[in-house]
Amino acid sequence: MAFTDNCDLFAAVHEDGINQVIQHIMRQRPSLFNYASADVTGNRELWCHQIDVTKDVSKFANPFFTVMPPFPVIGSDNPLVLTGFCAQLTKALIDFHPGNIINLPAELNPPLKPQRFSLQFIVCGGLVCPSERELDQIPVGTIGSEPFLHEFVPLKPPPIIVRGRPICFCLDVFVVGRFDLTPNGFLLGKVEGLEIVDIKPERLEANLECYLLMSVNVVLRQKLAIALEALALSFPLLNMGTITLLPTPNPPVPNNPAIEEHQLKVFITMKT
Amino acid sequence: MSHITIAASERAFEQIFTLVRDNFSFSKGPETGSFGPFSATYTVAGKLSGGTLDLHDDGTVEVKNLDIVWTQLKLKVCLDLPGCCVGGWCIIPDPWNGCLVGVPEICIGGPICIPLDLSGLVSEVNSIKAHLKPVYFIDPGRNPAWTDLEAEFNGKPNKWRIFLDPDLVSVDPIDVPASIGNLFENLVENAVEDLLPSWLPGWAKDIIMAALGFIIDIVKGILGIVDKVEDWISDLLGNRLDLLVFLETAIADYFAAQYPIYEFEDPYPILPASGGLFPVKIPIRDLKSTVNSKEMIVEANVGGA
Repeated sequence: MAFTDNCDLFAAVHEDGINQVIQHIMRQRPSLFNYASADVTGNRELWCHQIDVTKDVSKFANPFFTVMPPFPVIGSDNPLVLTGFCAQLTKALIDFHPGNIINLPAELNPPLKPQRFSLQFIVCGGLVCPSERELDQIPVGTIGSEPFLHEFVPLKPPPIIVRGRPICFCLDVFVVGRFDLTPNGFLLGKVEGLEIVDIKPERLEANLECYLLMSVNVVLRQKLAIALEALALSFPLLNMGTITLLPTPNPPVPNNPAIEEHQLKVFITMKT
Repeated sequence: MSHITIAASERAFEQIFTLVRDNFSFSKGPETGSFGPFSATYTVAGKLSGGTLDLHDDGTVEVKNLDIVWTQLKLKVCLDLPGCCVGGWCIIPDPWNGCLVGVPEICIGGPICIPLDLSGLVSEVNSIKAHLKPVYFIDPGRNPAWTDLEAEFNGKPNKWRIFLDPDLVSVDPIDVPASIGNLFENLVENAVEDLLPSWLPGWAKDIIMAALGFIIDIVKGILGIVDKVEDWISDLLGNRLDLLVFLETAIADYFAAQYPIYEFEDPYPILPASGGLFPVKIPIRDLKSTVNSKEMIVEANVGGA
């Protein structure tokens, strides 16, 4: 059977290839996988996990981290007190149906269902925990509300970012999902289920899982949607103005994109 | 199993071939060849059009009935016409003495040129048999000390290229239409007429030219035309001036080394540059390409991180 029996252009990528690609992205664009507040990014000692990058990242001064605002400390307002954090994805692995690389936890109902992928990653993170001495630096009372002032002058003092070392932890996360082909030619991964191993109590686990599921879906949508052109290595047919390319419908192709035989496959039909 | 598999149906492959075909053009000349008693100068230019494509299970691609459109095909044949004299006849004799009206004796001879413009002629590439050939291209202008990223920033990235490498290119003889035979004879007559003195009245020229009917045969004899003029022109252009070999070489070289049917950068940019971040690029290794009777298949692996 030919690859193009039911289409004009066929592109497939094997899970081993995708896993190689993930390694390349992690080493060349670490800021997609590492997030922290500025106080943490500037001090390697505070990172939860050291980052392996290509020489070019340093040479061209690309950032290791995406810098994000520190977390506000609940109850603080004037001045606002903030604490830093670090969140790093340290390992990522994909497996296309039939599953043979990742052992899914029972909560995700193994074995991996047809037309699905699974993803395993390790997230390490931690909140900066300041020392007691650091906390003693925070002014007593609310600035600008001293009772002996004749006139009330509202002041907005700068926020205080407490210093300290993050208390790092790592989580094993498992994901199952599928791929959709968007009308504008992107292969979009969609997470259907996510499980964090060994977190108690259950409601805390559910909260964390909800946040991570949201986060993974957002990153897949905004940063890691795969352009069809990239999957097909810019095959010349994709840039011809004289023809129109459309996803091959069902029938004749039951699943498009398809996840089968350890590959992600796309079928395209040409209209001249 | 390869990490990446891309396949294009025969129909899709035809579209890619069309793109490559339409980008081909050739031009040559003016070039002159000397053939003893005469010389021939040509200026040619052209392009390809049409053609049918067949993919075979033995990994070959066959292109048939590919037209060569000669957008310019100009040929000038020059020779030395041997000297001869005609005229000196009396048309109305004087009954008493001499001649009242006569045609003076005119001697002609020397170099003449016959210009032929065959532009617009269409001939045919009978067959191209080729196979796909992946080639790894390193820009000769690339500084060896550059990283792949620096090479890209300097516009000199490495590239994978897949060529349609011809094993055989067979170009048919240039089919010169029969009407060119008459045109050629008219042009010879024009060239001879140009040798006549300009002061000669038109009626006298007509009489002399009528008497010079044999001159066409003399010119044909000098040029070695024993049969049809159009066949002689076809042979002159195709074989003696080597245009068929030139064309076969130009077509073979174009497909084999100049214009790939598929080309992409290595490492291949998988995520674009954005906001000061350089593009993420993945190395492509072990590129293979082949065809079978149904499709073209390209396979490759992703290199290690």
